[in-house]
Amino acid sequence: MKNKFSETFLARWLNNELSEKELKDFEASSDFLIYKKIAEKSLELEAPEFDKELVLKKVQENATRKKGKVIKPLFRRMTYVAAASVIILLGLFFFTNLPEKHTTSFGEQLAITLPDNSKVILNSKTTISYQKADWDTERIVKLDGEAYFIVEKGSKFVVETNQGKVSVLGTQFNVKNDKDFFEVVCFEGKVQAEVKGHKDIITKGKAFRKEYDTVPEKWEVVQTEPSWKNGESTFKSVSLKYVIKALENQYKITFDASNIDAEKKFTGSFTHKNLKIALQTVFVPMKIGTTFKGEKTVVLQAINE
Amino acid sequence: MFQMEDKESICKPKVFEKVFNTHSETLRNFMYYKCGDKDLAEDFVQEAFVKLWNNCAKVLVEKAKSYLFTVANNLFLNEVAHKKVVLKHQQTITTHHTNLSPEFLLEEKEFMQKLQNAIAELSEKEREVFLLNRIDKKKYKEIAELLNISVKTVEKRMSLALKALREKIGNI
Repeated sequence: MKNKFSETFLARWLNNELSEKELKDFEASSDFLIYKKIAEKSLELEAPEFDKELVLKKVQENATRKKGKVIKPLFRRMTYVAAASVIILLGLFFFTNLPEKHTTSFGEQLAITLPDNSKVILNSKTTISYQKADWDTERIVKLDGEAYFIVEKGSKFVVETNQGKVSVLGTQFNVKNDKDFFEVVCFEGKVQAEVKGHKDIITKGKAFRKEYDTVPEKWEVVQTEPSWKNGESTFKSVSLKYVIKALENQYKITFDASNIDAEKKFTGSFTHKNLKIALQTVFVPMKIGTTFKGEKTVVLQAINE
Repeated sequence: MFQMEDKESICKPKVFEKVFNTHSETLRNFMYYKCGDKDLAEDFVQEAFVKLWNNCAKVLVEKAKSYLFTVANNLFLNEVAHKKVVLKHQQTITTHHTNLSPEFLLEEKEFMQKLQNAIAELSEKEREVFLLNRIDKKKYKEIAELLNISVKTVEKRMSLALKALREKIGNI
């Protein structure tokens, strides 16, 4: 009998997935009773006690003791609950209408899930905000900085920046905006970018950019997600000043670029893991020297041949 | 009114705590089925959650479960690489039934003992699948997700486990 079983037969039996005939044959077999007993009795087994709260406490202690690059307060004590509840009640009306806001600092990233399961991953020095209360009727996210969106299907989804806006129906795309700089890369689906009266439809694998008052440019990309998600910032013929800005956001340093031509175009990428290597990969090919003035300032100087 | 959104970032302590409350017990059991050592299993759980917290900015809420299981599994693999875990399953596993004849109870007790010994002798892969289904009442599909294997593989391991148990227990 045993040999007649297919390799998933017993599992399917346990799950009540056998056909009537299969079940009948099995029930008639000599092994059936013992299998039945094993199935029933194994349900009575229990795992040892698990002290959830104790383990959670240990996790919290360990998590707070470990100081990473960013210090995050974990589980603030509830000492002032009584006093705070009064304030909360008073403030309730005002707070419920405040937008949800998420901000990243220098070199940080943050993954967020929006109320409709759409996902946003923020790059460093970025802020997004949205109205949770209005989310069902309108999906609007305000963005300052750079973020990667994976949008769930549904009503119109709009990303507003001070430069321009992007509207979509279910897709994945990256928006980057800065003073006078607006860039959208679409990784899936279709989006509409709108900047200063100029509208453009961007499809999968296409990118769109506008600097100052120049004519917007479009090009093609091969990646399937933004490189910064994996610890690298990539640029394609971007003015050096924006690359410098990205370096500043990533490493919390400032540059003195008064002695170089910051309008020169740069194509390439830099790592988020090592400042020295990042500086070399950007400035060596551009023939620019880097000198540290103090710990946080880098002076840039063109190298003459 | 002020309930926290279940979604959003794991970096929010409330969200993190919720993730802990939802997944910690299954994770602990899973690790226990692997190594048979309660304390070691708890250590793995603890380490996995600390790691999740430290990487909270990079992990989306709905990916937390598979992240935790993968991390804990890797921790387990590292551990056994330099330390052979001796399996002991017998203690603490209890049964619950009442008011039956002493002979019957004795027989049942013997059977449970046989069953537990047979479970302890299963291969680790068979045991974790079998016990996640029997004790934690996880569906094959859920187990497949947790272990990152196909449902078919779960069914195969489940069948192999049953067959092995039946052979080890012998006839009643």
